[in-house]
Amino acid sequence: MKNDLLERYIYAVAKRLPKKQREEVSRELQELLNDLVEARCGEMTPTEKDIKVVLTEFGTVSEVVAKYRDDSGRLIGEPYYTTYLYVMKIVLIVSLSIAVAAVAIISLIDGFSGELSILELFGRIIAWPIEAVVGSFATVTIVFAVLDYFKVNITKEVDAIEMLPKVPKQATKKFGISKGETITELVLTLVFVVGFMTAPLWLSQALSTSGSSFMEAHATRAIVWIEQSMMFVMMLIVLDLIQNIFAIKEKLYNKTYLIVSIVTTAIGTVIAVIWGMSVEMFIKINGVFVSEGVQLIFITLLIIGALGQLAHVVYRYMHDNKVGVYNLNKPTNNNK
Amino acid sequence: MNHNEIVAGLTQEFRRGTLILVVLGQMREPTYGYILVKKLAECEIQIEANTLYPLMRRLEGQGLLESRWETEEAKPRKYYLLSEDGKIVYEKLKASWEKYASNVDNLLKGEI
Repeated sequence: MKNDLLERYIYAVAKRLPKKQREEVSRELQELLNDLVEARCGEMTPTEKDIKVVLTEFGTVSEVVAKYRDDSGRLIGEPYYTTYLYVMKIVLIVSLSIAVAAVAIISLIDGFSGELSILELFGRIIAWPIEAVVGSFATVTIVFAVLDYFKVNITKEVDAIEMLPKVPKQATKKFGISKGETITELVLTLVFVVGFMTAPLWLSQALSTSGSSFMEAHATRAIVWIEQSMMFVMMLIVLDLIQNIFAIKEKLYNKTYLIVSIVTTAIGTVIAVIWGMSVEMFIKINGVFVSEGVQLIFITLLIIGALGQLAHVVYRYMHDNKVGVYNLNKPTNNNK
Repeated sequence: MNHNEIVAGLTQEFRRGTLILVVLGQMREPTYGYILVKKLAECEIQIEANTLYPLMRRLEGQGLLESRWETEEAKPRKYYLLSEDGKIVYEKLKASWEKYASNVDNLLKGEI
């Protein structure tokens, strides 16, 4: 319990610091707090009360975070900054979701009533989310700047020792490839494959029961597109599976996994380009079938997605190897 | 007027100003955090334990200190030491302090 309290305190401080400082600061605090506990208790085994006294004398989490963060010249300093980031994340996610939902719902209604031009639609897709993000960002920033200016006390509850957050299991296992992530990806791939392969069947089913000419035109074209695309999709899925098998086997963002990722992404990009160029996709907008623009967007999205995933692997490879995480059990000897 | 409170506040101000000089002065030999806190406390120079490591990190960031983790001992410890630049800065800062302290001393004694 007493070690738990120390760990929770250190974790509470570390998680409010920039990521690159966390590991080092955690070790420093562990060293210093253990020394302070030892100085208080000597040979005696420290009790929970001893730990609480040491932590109280050492300072609240917000005070320690403020010492590690150099807040001079900042609009919002500690203890407000951590809460500011937390609130900002929530507000941005909520406002962005509302904006996207609003674009989708209102445009669908306008689209069906024929009051929406493509230009207007693109304008909404770009402008509404930007407006939501900028507005939320400005509002949250102003509110916290005012709180900081008047030094409104918002930390009393947060800083109580009893309120220290529990150390999540992932905190001690933050490197390497997450097994859960790989399994989730495999399950999603499987669901997609099943859905994609059976799509012509259930689309035909829907077609035979709907009797609508609008549905018929779209479903027929979708079936043709899916059947022509099947071979390309299967090739991309095989590449994805190869990458996931290596992820499970290697468990780390190491050189082998990096090379496999680069090779599969390169092959995948070529397949995506050939797919986009050879299979025509028809979509009806405002009564006219369009294909070229949609084809281009489709290929671009596929390539952006693949490159984004590769960028993530490259980043993790560089990050994990830079901080020497594969020998994390022991503190590193960083003689400078 | 609470004289003691005012004096304590003003004393705190010049202590804060000289803290970096004091810390740099203790870093001529490899030293770790808790030993430094104890050593300064023995000389009646109070420094909060939670202030020391952030301060040393900042000095390291400025290139005045170097650090390394010693893992040979029972507990891993982070030792700090003056860097080559730190030695030069420390000597200059020390000379500047000595001159300033002597001037203040002379002023207070009414010799100027």
